[in-house]
Amino acid sequence: MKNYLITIFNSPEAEKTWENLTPEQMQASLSKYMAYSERLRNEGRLLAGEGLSMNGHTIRGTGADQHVTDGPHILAKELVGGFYFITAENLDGALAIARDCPGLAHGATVEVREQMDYGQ
Amino acid sequence: MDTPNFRAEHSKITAHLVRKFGPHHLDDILDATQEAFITAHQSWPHHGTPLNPTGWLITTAERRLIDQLRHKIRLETIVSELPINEVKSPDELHLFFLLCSPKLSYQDQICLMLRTLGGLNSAEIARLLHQSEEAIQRRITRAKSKLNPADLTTHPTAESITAILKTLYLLFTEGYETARGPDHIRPDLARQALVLTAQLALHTKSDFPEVHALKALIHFNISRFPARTTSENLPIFLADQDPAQYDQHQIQLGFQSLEQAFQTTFLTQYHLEAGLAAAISLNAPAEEILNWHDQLVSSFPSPNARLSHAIALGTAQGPEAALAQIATLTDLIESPYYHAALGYFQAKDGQNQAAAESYRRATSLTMSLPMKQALTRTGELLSPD
Repeated sequence: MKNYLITIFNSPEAEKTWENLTPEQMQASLSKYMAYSERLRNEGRLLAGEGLSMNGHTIRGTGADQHVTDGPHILAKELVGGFYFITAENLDGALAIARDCPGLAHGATVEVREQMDYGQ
Repeated sequence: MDTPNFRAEHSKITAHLVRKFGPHHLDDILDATQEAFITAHQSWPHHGTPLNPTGWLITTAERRLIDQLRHKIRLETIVSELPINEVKSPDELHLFFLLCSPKLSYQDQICLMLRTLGGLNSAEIARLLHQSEEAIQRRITRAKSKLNPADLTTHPTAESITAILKTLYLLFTEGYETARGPDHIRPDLARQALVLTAQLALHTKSDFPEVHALKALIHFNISRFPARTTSENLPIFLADQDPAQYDQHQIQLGFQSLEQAFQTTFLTQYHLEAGLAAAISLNAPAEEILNWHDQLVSSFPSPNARLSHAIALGTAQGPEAALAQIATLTDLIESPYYHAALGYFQAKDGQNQAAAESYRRATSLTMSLPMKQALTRTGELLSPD
């Protein structure tokens, strides 16, 4: 068993589609997210998961050269909206789980990364 | 786990924030409401549905709104702007009465009510009012700038009631039979119209009998929801519905409202439509139903009323009477309902080939996906002449 980080990125275009969803569509998509988390929890693979707010800072450099800007790292274009840290048999298994992420239906980009194996 | 009904939550949050922060922040309020729903996506899947979802959504939207407003103005200004009033009405009614400002045109009022209390987006409003989306967006932007908390009335006038009832009627109509898209019925929309109408009826007591008439009309129509769709969510037309499936509790509530509605001799369109809906829910004889349609069409001769009348005529007196009547409705030639009705009575009259062609026309004109499927199926079942 290995650990994987599933990160959900929202593009500016994806943000636009969110703004136009009707209350019913919001409710339906939330139900899907709830069911997705529930499934990961029931399968015993959910190690952690959270949503990230837009409040924050981005820091670059040190000492006198240190620059702090407000908000998330906007040069990335796509902003991290949330993440799941899960356990899976292998990368294929984690991929299969990440492909079911409900955010994909709203234009999000989903990344799955394996935790570094230090071979110890 | 179940999530609360977001359409009802949408109007609660919006109405609460307008009451607290004032209508001139409406743009930010609508954004904050939407943000609260998005934030729920980030939190609830990980932490579960909160014990008090409404409270959670309102608090989240309020925090978001204050954040947004802080960027624009100093917080002290926001707080001093809070409208102070002694209105003991629910937040939703407060917002309704505010939107009835005489500074707004009738159309402006309806657009803003559908946007805030109905939770419809501008595309949906555009479809309901047969206007372009751009026109609706322009109208909403212009109307919002004219809102002023000082215009608030706690005693609605007959004109404001007319605009409110028209809005609720439009909201219900869209829920009852959705003109476009994947759903035949949108029960959330219909229920939202009922909840708001019930609040209005409670608040205005017996001042406006037409409010009770609309409430009765909604109850009677909701009573038939269980019989109106197949298990695959396809429409079942009135002639094929099973009255045993009608919801008796809703019918009972409908009659309670009807009694209050008819404590007047001045009958509105809502009165007549409620009477008709009652007769249909009770599976009354075709002649009695035709009688209601006769009254409706002579007092309020809209194109749809005339088509419904023609259908009732056919059910009571046979296909020839209906076909003769439908032939006079040339202004409805682009309506899918016109061709569906034509097909139905042509088939009853034994003209299967013409009926199949009418159903094809109706299928190509309707924008509702379940209606398209149901009409195609009906047309295909016809054997050639």
